[in-house]
Amino acid sequence: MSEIFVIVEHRLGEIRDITFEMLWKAGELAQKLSYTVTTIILGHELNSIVDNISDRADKIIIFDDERLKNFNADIYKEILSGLIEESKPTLTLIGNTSWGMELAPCLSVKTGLPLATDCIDIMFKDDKFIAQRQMFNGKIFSNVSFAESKECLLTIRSGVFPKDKIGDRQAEIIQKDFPLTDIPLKKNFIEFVETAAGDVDISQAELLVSVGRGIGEEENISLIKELAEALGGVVSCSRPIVDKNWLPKHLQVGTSGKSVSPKVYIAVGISGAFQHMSGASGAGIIIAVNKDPKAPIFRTADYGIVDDLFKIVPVLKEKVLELKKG
Amino acid sequence: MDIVVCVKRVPLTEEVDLVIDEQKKGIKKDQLAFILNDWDNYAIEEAIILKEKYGGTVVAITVGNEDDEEVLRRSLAMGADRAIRVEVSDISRFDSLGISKILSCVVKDLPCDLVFTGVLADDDNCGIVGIMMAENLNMNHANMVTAIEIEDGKARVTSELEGGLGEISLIDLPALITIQTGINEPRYVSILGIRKAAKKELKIMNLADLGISDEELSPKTIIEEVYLPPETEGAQMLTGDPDKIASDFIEILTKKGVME
Amino acid sequence: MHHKVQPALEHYIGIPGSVITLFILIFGLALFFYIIYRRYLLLRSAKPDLRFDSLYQRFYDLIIYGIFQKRQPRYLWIGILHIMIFWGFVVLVLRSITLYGLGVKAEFILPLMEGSIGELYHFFKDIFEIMVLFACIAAILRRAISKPARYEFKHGKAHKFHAYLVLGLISFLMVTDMAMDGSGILLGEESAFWLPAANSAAYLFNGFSQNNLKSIFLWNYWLHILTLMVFLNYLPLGKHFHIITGVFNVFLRKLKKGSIKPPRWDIENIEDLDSLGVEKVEDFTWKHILDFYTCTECGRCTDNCPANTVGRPLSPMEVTLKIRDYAYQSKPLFNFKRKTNSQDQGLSLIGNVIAPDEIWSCTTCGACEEECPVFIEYIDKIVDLRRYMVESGMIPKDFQDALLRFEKTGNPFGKPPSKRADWVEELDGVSVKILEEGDEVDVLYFVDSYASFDPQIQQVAMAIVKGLNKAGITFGILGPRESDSAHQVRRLGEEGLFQFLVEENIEIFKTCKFKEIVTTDPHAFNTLKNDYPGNLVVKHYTEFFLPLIESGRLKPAKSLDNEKIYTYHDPCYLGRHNGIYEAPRKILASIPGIKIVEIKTNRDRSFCCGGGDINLWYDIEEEEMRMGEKRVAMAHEAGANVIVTACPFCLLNFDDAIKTSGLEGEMEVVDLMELFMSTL
Repeated sequence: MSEIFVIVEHRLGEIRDITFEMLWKAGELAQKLSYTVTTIILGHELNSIVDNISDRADKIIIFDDERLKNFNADIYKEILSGLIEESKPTLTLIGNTSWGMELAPCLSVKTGLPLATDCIDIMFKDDKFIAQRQMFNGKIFSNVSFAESKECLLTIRSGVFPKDKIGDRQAEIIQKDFPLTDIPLKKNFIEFVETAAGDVDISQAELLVSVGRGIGEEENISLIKELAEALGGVVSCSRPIVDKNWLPKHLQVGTSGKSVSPKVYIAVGISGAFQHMSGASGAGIIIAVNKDPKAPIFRTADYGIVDDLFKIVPVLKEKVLELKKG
Repeated sequence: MDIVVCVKRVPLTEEVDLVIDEQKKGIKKDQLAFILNDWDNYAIEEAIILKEKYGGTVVAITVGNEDDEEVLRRSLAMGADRAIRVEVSDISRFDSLGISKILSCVVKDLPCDLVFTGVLADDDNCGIVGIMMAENLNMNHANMVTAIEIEDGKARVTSELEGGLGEISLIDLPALITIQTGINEPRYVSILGIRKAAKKELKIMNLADLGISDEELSPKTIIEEVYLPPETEGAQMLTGDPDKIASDFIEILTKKGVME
Repeated sequence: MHHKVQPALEHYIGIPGSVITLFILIFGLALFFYIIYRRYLLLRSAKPDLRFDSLYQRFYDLIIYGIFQKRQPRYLWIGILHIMIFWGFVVLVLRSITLYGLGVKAEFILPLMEGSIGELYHFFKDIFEIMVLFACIAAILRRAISKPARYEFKHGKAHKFHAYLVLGLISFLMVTDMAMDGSGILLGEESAFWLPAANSAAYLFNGFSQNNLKSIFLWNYWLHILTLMVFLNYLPLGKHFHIITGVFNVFLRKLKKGSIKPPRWDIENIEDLDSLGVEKVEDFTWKHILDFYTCTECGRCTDNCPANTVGRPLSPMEVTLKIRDYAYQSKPLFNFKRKTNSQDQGLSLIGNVIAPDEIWSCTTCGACEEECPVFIEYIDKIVDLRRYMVESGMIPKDFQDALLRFEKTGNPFGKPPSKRADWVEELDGVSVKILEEGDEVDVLYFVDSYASFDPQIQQVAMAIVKGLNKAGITFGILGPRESDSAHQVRRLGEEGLFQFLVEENIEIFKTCKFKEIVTTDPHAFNTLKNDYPGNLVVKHYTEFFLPLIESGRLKPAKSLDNEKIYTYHDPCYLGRHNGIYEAPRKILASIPGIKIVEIKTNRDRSFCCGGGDINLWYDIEEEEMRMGEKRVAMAHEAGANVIVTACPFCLLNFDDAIKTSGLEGEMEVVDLMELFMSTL
């Protein structure tokens, strides 16, 4: 039976969400095509991690070794290439993360398997797998297939698949020994650091709550801050807000500010001048709140709410907080 | 410190409504303006900063046709010493693996302590070539690097991880590093600077010089079809009382995976 | 007039007075010419400049602005005081020469000064002496009591001591001369004329013995000629150098307003230059160095600088003074130390003498240059400093992005050139010809980037096109083939890119025939007219449409049936830089039923909206309020509800400013053409 490999990504003893998302997609494909799902975990002291996914895969292969304590693309590559050679999985899924993007290309060269990165969907059509991905920052979609190869490597974009469990599985757990004989480490992990704490980089944020001059008064900014906090997002703004010194310049979106590409851009009280919108064009979706039904932002936004922001925002915030508690 | 930087010329698409070509394999490019890939701009700058600090040379390489030389000239104007273009009339016939093989062939004959590439290119958004080169060349590598310090023949690098975390590691040189935006502030090069850089050496090689056969470069990934994102017609309005609107709002956020 | 006492014939410790005078003269003049020579050396080490063209115009200006001091009364009372002192100096120069002559040779007299001409001169001299003394005392009191803010420095202590010292010295010279004349009268000198100053002094000395009077005369004589020599040598050291350089600076002034100087006057192809722009003092042209020498520290530039008014770090006067102080310091008059290379090289001005944000604060509005009584230039210097910053990569990221978009797409937005004429599709019923190769029209309408791409400014372009159509003009636009006029690009200091865009446009212009160019934007108008080669016939739309309106080809059909009060704001590049003040006002006034007020600062004293040049891409952090807000407040104060302007950037800036000042509903801004077309 054909097999799908999912390479578990974990950091500091915790599974990264991307792993669950890949397992969801792997599970869905496996169900449809009667494949099996095998997850591979490399690391050290992995019990809690294994417990977390044991009901989402058919097989869990574990390499538990002191030398695997920290991620190292070269060691991962050596171990995984051996495993892939042996099992010939049809698909190998790796997270399209900083680590995954270092692992996947060298694994591809090492194994000779084709690689498609940053996939947002995997389809099975006419007896072959098609990876759906984006180009030009999402302005173009493309379908990629793999020449002459039954097997391939795919890296999966974070956040495109649910983290839910799919199907009912009970994993067989296989512990393996560290297979490599003494590789000299040419890259040594030193430490993790918090980068630019407090100094928010809005261009990297996944959820932005952006505020424009519709907010009226400086003290109302706190309303937006509270909403952003409740949603786990970051506050950004349009130029007039910076002009008035209500928020610092590095939070400004637009031609004269930053270009951002969050998954969701919530524009509150922003009319949507194109100088501003060009900075937000990389957003996955835009939800606009504005009391003016003719505001240009409704032309570019995906969802619109024509209402007083002072009516909508507080209710929204309360609802989000309620949901988080419950 | 000899550094090789691989650069790419990409279309400027920020403000453009892209049009799919007849074969549905790519986009129409005749109306587009082209620039140096943003990540590569940072990579060149980083190489020049290191050169200014430790001496050595910076060589910029690209694969492409004569038009693509524009990004090499910009690199030279920024401070690179030499540039090499591998003549390929249409790079779209290669996949990332193919490009990485060509670049590796060029780099292997150059003295270098560091190879830089951008994390990814603004056009295909693949982000593969750099690390593949490292594997081809059997070099140490680090990905998505936002800081580099040189310490006794090693590079102390900070890789950007998700969620505001950086991973610091020490790697032996020579090494290949993919450069993330924001690592530095790329200098401006004026038109005059670019014109003056025309005097610097720009070498053109072809695949035969490198001893690569077309078979070696045959793509393993194939673009079946490209298409525009599913159409959305203006904003979909959320209506009703604030309570209803808020619920719909949250549903959207949940669907987009930004709410737990 | 013959003096009874002859200083030349006096002896002091055995030395004849004539020898003493000669010593003072020779030593004083030697020192003076040495100082001037040192100053000249710096001037000579600077870059070439082209200042000896249009001599007729230059002499004319010299009379108007130099001799008649036309700009002085822009600040009325102090201006009049200055004119009094200036004319006093002109008249008194002959007296000074005579006095030195008297010290060398008894009974010395200048040619033609014999007889009644000499008497008449003496009368005028006497009157002017009183005038100068009065003006100096008034100026001292004014400085001490009302303490005008424009003399203060933003970054450091003002040179106020020098002002008092010089006013004091001048007063002292006047008093000593009066005392000489007064004592002379009592000693028996006679005059055919009434001499109020001399007579007043004589009145004071009345009853003094002949001996005392003689001592008074001699003491005052020696003090006077000594002080005069000190004064002369003191002039080139500070702000009073203008007494010597001022007339030259006026004569050598920039004649072509609105234009930007080429990077070098002597080298045409910028690729032949090792570096572009100004890094060090010597990189300025010699005329610009003369500007530094000439600054009188009157502060009128800074007083009118909009950047300074809103709290930006720029003060034009201080830019001049900081560079002057630095130049004097790095090129000392007496260099007793052994020359070292580093001293000769000098530091880079940027960052050491002038901060980058001072340089970026300027909107090139030209208010400073309009005001300067001695025609000191600022914009060219700022642009030259920027040129250096651009070439050495020292520019903020925001500019880099904008410049890259200019380079790649011919517009600052990065919009594809193919979409440049898309706005035309929104016009209904009006066809716009997009000019192809070989086409022939009367008017080439140069739309430029903002009117092509910014939805708000597209409305202005539409109004213009409708106007052209209605007036039956055959016209066309260049559409996708038009590149940005590059006005901003040049003023940002990216000369290479400017030349590149100019070449693109010129090439396109050549492909079709037209009689004149009409522009939406005063900036495009200015650069096409003043920066582009080849003397294009360019008109701003206000200039173009006024005759059509006056001749009735365009006639407002309905009056404005509202109670709103309109005011016209002069855009810098229409008004100050190109002198077009009346055409827009006449168009506005042609609208039936319109109520118009003027803002207090109008025409050449108009206050910049914030500018189109760099303000839109870069924020100066140090700023108390936006220029647009300040200007909107001025209009509000004048009682206007509607600001009418004729520049896209004014429109955008005021539109923003009205919102940020919370005046929405109360104030609005409209483009003149849009307003006019709405009445047809």
